Amino acid sequence: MTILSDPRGTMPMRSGIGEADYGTPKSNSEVMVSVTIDGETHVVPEGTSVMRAAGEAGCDIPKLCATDSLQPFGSCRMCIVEIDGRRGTPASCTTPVEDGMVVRTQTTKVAKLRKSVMELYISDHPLDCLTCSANGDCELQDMAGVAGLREVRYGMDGKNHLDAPTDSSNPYFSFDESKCIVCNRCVRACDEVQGTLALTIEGRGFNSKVSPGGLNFLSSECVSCGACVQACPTATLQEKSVIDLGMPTRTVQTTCAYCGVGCSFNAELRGDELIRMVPTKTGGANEGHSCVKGRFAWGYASHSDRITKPMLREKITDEWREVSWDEAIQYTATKLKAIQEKYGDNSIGGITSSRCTNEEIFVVQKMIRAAFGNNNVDTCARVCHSPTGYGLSTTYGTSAGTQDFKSVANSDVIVVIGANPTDAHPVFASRMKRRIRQGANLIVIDPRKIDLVESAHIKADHHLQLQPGTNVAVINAIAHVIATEGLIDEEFVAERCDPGPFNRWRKFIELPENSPEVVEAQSGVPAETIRQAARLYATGKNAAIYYGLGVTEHSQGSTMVMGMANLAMATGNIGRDGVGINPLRGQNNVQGACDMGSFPHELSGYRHVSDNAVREQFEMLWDVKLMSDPGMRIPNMFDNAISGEFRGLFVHGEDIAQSDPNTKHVEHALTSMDLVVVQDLFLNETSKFAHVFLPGTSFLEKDGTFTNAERRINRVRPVMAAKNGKQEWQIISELSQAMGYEMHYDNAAQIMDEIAAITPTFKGVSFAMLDEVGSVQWPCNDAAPTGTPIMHVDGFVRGQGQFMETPFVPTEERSNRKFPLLLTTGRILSQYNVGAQTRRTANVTWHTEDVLEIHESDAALRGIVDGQKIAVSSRIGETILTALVSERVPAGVVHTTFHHPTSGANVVTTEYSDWATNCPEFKVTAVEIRPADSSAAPTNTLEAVLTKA
Amino acid sequence: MEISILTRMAVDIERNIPAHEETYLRISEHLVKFWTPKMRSDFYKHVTTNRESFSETLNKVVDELRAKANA
Repeated sequence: MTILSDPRGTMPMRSGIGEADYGTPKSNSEVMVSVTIDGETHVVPEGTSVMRAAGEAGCDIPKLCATDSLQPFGSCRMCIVEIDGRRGTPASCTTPVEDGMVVRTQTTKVAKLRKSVMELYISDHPLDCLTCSANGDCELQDMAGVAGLREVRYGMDGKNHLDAPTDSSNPYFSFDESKCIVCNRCVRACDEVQGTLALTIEGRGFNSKVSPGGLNFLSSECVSCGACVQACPTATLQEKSVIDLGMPTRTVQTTCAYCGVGCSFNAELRGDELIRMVPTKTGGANEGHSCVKGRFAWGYASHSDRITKPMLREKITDEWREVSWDEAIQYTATKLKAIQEKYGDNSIGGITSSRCTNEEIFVVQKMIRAAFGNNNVDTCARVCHSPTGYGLSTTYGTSAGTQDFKSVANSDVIVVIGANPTDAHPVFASRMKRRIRQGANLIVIDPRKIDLVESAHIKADHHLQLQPGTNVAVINAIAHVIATEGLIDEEFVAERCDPGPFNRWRKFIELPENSPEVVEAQSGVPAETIRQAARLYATGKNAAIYYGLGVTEHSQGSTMVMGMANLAMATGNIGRDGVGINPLRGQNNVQGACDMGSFPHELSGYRHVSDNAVREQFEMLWDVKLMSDPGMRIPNMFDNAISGEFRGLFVHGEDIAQSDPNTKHVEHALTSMDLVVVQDLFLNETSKFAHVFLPGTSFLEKDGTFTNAERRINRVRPVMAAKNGKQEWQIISELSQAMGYEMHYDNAAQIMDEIAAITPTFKGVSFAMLDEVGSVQWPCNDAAPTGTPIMHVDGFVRGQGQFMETPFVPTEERSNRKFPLLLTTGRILSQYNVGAQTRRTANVTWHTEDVLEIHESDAALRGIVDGQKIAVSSRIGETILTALVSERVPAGVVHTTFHHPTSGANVVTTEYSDWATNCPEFKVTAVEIRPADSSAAPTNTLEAVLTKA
Repeated sequence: MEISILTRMAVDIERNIPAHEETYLRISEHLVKFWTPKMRSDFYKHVTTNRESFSETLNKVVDELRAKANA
């Protein structure tokens, strides 16, 4: 008898070189049952299908409609078996194993039936295997071989689908209907895995066909996640890159470089040419799923706009000239040293990038602290999730989300605040939607009617459509209801939280000023809706909060994070599966950038620079004296540049001139500096103000790790040689040496070894360890050497949880007669942040420009129609966008994205920021709009800026 | 860095930290933890010469921090 803990089966599969497909999902039952398959007895978890049990035992059963990412369907009739005591030949995919069951998978009877079934399939399928794009990767071809099919008795001349059309409308994959066997896998993948339900089977019987809602794929609801392509067993749904270039022959497992979900992919190559990216089933974050960006939008890495040679210029009005690496590095070091000599040690600094690896980030902050000799290092998290760090470390003791992504599968109430996961974190959104379809309740708190409020098979129980800028008022009102209606989990609070702060918080939150009735007037959310949402959150068994930049990018971003943390503690929704406070991080490595010591006040592992014991450890390891006072934050750097005190900036992989607020102010700061060094893939908006351009590497060239929003440290492996000839950590090391500080590594693994040696939460993490276990979620320590999926289980990191009073302080940015509308900004599915990557892919098919969503009544009032060019002005600036009249925004609120530099949404955003962290208040800008003069031009061109400067 | 910016930042911090007897301690802690020495010293100087423009709490913060720095 064998216990199947180490499955041996390797049934052929469509996509993902080397990954086994056991036909049906794994059973998680702890009850084991015994089954005899082809004479051998095995023990498997109860609920395992006969197909899976056989596959795990190495007795592969032929299949076509089954794949282990989908629930069994039982339509293809290829997987039939004989079972003692059962009549007929049941489908093995839909038949669960029973204790004592005896199964025979390879009898003459089933072989004959399978052959007949296959004969019918092939009678209506093109026999062009040798020239088919899926040749060698086609399950139909494989199964025909397994069935031993040698002839088709029915001929090929009968009624068939061989002339059915091909839909090539999607830029990344085609749908060749003539090859479709109507197995339903694509439809089920769209339903079960992605949750968009864009596909259906149209017609009946012989006329049955897969249909994207009667339209072509591009015009349909399809979000191009690739789940259908992944699931298709034939060449019906096929990547165009495979059709054009051929089948890949080797694979490298790596991690996506888009959002904070951090999906694992197999980069599939032929030679050195990347053919496709296929999500890996073993990836802890995504478990085989993907989105349009990670799956398809990787072409930017080889885009002709890539800069691969270093460039210099004396003045920003000069032409760039290509130089050697030596010259670029020496020039940069000489200029930086000269600035420091003239203006002091604190006159230079740098910004790390959340798009880069932990190892690259670590060496950049090390260069600034050790070679520049100051703490003027900050990171792009400043403009997104810095309030998360402040709020969660104050209340819980650590600067990170509390759960793993899987946790949502055990949530009974899901609260989404200021996040739009279906656009910005689509793979996690699919997990979340799956749970909601299973029956979890959903509360959405957002000024916009995001997709989750109502979409296919999803409807929020409550949508708290609050006025931008009133988050804290609403979270306080929810807490008020919980406190005043006796819904506090007194036992949890007594056991786990500091009583002094709790009692003070309770007194504060019970004040009438926090009641839903008072808050209704401030937020526009009906008091009764707040009350119902509060009761649902407090009384649901497991309630989880997921939030995004709609929480953090406010003048009270940090207060709001603490408000949510209070709520979770008050209701005991922390420290177990299905609950928690979960920031949805914007970029792939925001978490890592923060972990690595990118903030001016913290060394790696969130330890303050003033902590003598910690600083001494670094000083000993790095052999250098470190500063004990915090350095400048990004906005401080800009302000000091304008006042002449800050003269040189190293910008690592961030386009601050496009992504930071108040573009005019940022550009003024950049033009005020003597030296701006940009390290990036492309000449971006910031590089217009740079004197040195150091070419960087794409994620396909990097060797290192990313840490995703669930604290998961994932390997990033080089798929191709660095196009610039150097890894970025090498460039930083050489610059440090040229500055006079000895920094040397032989490889990226050595950097991770240094991180692990000096950072308690990374103890034991190494490339070798990650290669062995796949990924780990920090903290890793002696108690949890392979990581901690869920935090604060037995106690908070800080000891006792700390309640914080969260008074609502309205933002000073308010609508008025001159600027009567409130602008919020966000992302769209097909584009990513400043668009540097996605604008250089076919994703522009879906989003060619940033548009301004405006409510019908606001548009009508101003004589604006859909598609019209409009001028959007704030007290800071003006830009031109195209109007999109939409019901997604309420009257008085407008919304846009910031993916395109030509529209420059941040031209209008203001200098206001979070009181604790200076994270910009991107989400509230008072604006007015008017039809644009046809001759109106954006004001954010270099010429316009230089004229003003 | 313009003093108006520092003033605005300090006032923002004060507005957002609930008024209690130890509020000044939290504000002080915040300034020491997150502000550069130059930002602090510029702000102290400004408050000292413009006491009437600032709240009692911010005056107390600056007095305490200056005393600590000089100790």
